Amino acid sequence: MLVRAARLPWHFSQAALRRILNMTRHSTSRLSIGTGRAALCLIALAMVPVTASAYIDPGTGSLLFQSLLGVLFGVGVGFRKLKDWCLHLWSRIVRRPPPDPRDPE
Amino acid sequence: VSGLEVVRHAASFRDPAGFVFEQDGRLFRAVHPDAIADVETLFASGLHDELVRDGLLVPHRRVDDGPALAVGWLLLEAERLPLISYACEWTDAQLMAASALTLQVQRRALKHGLTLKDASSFNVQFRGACAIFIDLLSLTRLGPARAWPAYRQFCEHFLAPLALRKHLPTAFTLPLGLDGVALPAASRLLPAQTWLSPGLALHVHLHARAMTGTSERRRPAAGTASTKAAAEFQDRLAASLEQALAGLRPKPRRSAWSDYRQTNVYSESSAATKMRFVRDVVDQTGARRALDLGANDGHYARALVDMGVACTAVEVDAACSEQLYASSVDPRYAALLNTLRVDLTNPTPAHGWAHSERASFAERSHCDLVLALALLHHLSITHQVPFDRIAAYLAQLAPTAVVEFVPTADPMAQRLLAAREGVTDAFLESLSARSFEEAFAPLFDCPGRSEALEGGRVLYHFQRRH
Repeated sequence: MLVRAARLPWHFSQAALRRILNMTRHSTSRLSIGTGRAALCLIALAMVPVTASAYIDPGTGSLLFQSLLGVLFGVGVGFRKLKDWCLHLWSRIVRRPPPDPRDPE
Repeated sequence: VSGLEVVRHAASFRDPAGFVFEQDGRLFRAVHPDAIADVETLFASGLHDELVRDGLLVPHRRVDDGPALAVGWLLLEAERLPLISYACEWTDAQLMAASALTLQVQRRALKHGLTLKDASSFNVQFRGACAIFIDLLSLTRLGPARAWPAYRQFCEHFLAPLALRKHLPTAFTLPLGLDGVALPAASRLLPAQTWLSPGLALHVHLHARAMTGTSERRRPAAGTASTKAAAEFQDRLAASLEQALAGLRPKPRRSAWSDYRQTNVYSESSAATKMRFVRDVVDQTGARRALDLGANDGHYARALVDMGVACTAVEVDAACSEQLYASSVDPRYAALLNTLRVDLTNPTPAHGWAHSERASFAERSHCDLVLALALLHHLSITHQVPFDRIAAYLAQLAPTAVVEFVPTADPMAQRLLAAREGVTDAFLESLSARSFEEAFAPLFDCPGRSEALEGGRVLYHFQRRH
């Protein structure tokens, strides 16, 4: 009973991770939905106890974790693009027009 | 079963793609027919030449004049490195260099359509001060699988040990073993503040949690993508790991021994006499490879390199060995000066499968000259190793030894004696010059000794009896 209770967060995170990763594939707004879901995955993972036991293949978890990293990296690229776009917009707003030579002053 | 008549290297049996063997002083790599396409891609893509040109990979070449192999196997000859060392013997900076090298090889491989199938620290060696990748067969063609199969191993062999060395510098030394540090163990050992480091939070803490509790029967289908998408993902992963490594750069350390040469009580003339004696022994014996035990800051090791003698400087003190490695990176010494952090009172044993997969420190330290300068009193007084045992170990390491005898009247020996309880007359007699000479006499001839230096110290040139 105690063992099952200790493993509960992991079941939650596994299920959540799979569902989120599947839903992300069909999402239309990858950036916003992906960010929220990746954050949820991370929180779920952070709750998981780190007790390992025999007859467990740690490589499987590592492969699954890389799926999550794929989402995170995608979100990171999206944020970088958004930042670049904002900076570009800002530089256009603050850039002053060149002085007009016909201006009497 | 290879069906070959050659004898595999003791450590080369896990990879079905091939194995390494030695013959007539040459080092060969036999490639299984199934792995030949990977090797051909490696050569045809230009990656091999690029990595070799930049000093990142040990050069390999196809040979026809080597031993006969079974039908279909490919034979390559590899450059033979004079010294093999293991991660548990590296300084923090060396482990960092080996980590950076692995990621650099991976990122360059991805550009050529290849990837590393494993990321073991045993794939990296040091040629002098420079980390170099040795396992050609780790490079395989990139498939559609998105995940990097070596990701976990990289974290266990490089990232987690570096994090532990940085955050638990006094408590943690790298364990012996073949699998690095298990991520769940590393995650528990690291202080809570490391959750604030994005690299460690992601690649150690969360990775450790993802690894636990996943059983075989719930194995997910491996994510697949195009080769281009797989290369992009794996490159981003390597870049993320590089960022995590950047936060783990070792800080300069200090210890009681790190300023020894500046703070000891001996004069310049004594140091000059010692140096002259060492140089004379090198000239007389024609030594080409030396082992400097208790090298401290590497003063004598660098002097040997200046004479063209390749030198392995062994120092157990963390601060000294870090300084030593930092100085060895200088282009003047980088080619010939190897640094190892080894405790001589407990040197690396033979380990791995059947105690023979990984050789002991003594088996790997091929050299023709061993220096034990200002070392004997630490072994005999602090660690209570009798002179005859020290003589036997030195005889095991090299045919020629230069040993500095430190009498009990010496100020440094006095300090060590003062720190000990129960110093009896019999113990002091066991540390006398007479006991020293009697201990070495059965194993060594003594063709020369120096004049008495300050504190009554004397340098002996010993030549092992064959």
